[in-house]
Amino acid sequence: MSYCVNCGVKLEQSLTACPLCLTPVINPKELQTVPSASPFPAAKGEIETVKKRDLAIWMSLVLGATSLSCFVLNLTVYQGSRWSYPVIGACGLLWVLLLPLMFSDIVTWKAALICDATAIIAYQYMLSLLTPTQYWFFRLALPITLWTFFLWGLCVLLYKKVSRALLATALYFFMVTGLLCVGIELLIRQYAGQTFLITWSAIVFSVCFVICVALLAILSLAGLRNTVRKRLHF
Amino acid sequence: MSGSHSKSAKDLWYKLDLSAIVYPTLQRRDFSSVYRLSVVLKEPIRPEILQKAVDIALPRFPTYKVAMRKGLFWRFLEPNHRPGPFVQEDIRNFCLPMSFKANNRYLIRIYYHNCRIALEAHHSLGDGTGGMCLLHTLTAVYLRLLGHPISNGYFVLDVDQPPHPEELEDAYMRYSNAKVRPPRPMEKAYRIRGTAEPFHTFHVIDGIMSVKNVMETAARYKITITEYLNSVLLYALLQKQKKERPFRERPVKIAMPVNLRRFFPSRTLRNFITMVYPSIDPRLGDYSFEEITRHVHNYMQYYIDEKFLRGDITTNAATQRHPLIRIVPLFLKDFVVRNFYRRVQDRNSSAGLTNMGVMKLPEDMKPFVHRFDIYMGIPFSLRTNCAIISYEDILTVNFASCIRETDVEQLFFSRLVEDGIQVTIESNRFS
Repeated sequence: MSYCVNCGVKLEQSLTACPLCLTPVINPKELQTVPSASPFPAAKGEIETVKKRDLAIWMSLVLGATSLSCFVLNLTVYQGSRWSYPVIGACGLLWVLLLPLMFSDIVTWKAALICDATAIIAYQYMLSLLTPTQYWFFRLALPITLWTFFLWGLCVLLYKKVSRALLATALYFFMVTGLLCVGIELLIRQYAGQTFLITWSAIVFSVCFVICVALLAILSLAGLRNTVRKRLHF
Repeated sequence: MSGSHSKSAKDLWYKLDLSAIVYPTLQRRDFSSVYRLSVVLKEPIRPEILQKAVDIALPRFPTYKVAMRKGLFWRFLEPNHRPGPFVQEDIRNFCLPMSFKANNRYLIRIYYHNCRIALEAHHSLGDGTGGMCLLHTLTAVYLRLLGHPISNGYFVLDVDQPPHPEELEDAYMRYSNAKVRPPRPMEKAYRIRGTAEPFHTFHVIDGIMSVKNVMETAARYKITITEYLNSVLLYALLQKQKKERPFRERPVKIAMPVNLRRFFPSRTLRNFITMVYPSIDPRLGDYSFEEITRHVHNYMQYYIDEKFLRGDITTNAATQRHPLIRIVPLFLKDFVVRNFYRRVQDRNSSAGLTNMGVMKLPEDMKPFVHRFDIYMGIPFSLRTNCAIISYEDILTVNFASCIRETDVEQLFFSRLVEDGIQVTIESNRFS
């Protein structure tokens, strides 16, 4: 058994460093000894995932019943138009959007993102089939949806893989907002056959850019970050 | 049976006691109010015998064999007849959050590892005293199954007898009858700002020392062991705050639960504690350690008093009894309580400290038991919690946290060493 040279406490035999001050344990008389067993188990535990099957069944039944009753009504009573199709599509879309809530144990965030994008595009396509032309879908709705989901995916990826700190999250948000607005304006202009330039989105982008630069400076300068944290702590 | 309504076994249910109401509202994906009690025996544990002991002992504790349910206005506990709870091999990162729907809806877990039996319980079921009764009885039944004659007494209850109605009561309601309701302390305290560890991480640092040694040191300052250890923790927190050079200093406060059974006779196995907040305000000047011990001693003498404690529980009970609050739907109560706790209650203290006191066992059980441990579980915010327990001549101070920094623990144990106490450290950090 060794003592920590820094704290003066006696350390349990299996400890390789003092847990209080991180000073490594080096006992000159016991350099060759085999480390002894820890009083704590080695295996780490995980939380048992709760399956929300009741919610999944309930949601499926409610949305399914809504779709079916609208379809039957459309078929038998109010036959003037295909009004039940958007309702059925909306129910399907809602079901897909609620997938992560119902099957949180199976659905990963990447799968949820792809499913959501596919469902929204499919719904828009279905709506376009009910309109005289599908031009708006291919030239406007589809590109905007893809661009939005691309940026949303990028934002989630950065949040998951890079940093979850408040300042970093704010940086992702402003970066994505600026790019989204620019993309939307360019796509609208292209659809409307106007000149390919940015106007209102340039202002949004500039504001977001300034905020991003300020946040990046705070994030990269440890001293500045600590000062902000100290001055703004609540 | 106060707080419960029985028609038949099937219709049996229990109201949550006054403290227990708060704990489920604070439940998050990464936080549950779970505490852990463990006993280290002198021989390795046999899991199949331990499982039999659980099956025999648990029905004696009906308020621990329950599931949490939601009503429109309040949550309640319902007897759980599902299989389990099953004993399992211990894990490194214990005190994991406890979902109300996982583990066959049981709100207790029983672990074993080498010579250790550990019980983890959700605070909604009961406090440390109630949990310790269950652990002692479970250990006694386990030893009996191994062929050792163990008698009942102290926390070892008779498993052949039905539970006494008083064991199931909400004792707060019996004693919350003061004529005035003193206001709650509301001043913000210094908060430790640690670096959060990833989810599923739980750091513990145990300090093991001699009761005699600590008692002699405390006697030098003319205070009790609890007062001495409180003073050391306050000293450690003051040093940490000073080292951080904050923009504005705040008082350093410790949230310390007081076992109300000492003042108000009750056999309840449910929650029956209230909090006191010994504190030091560094804005008044620099305090020497001797001044801190004197201040803590005077605080304890003044506030840990039957009259003050009665007033305190009356204040808490008044909220629950208010007719307008009672008719507010549960989801609104949850929202308000969670926000109040996060914004006010949690900021009211810098660290938690609990002292379970001296564990007493029947004479024939003593030769089989080496020591006890107690952990307050994952703290609600990024800080460290400290729990103390003693048995025979072993006093254990268990620190639990989810942060990387160990300054508070280091300052705490270094002060003990400075005072001449020999401390042996165990930890799941570097072993």
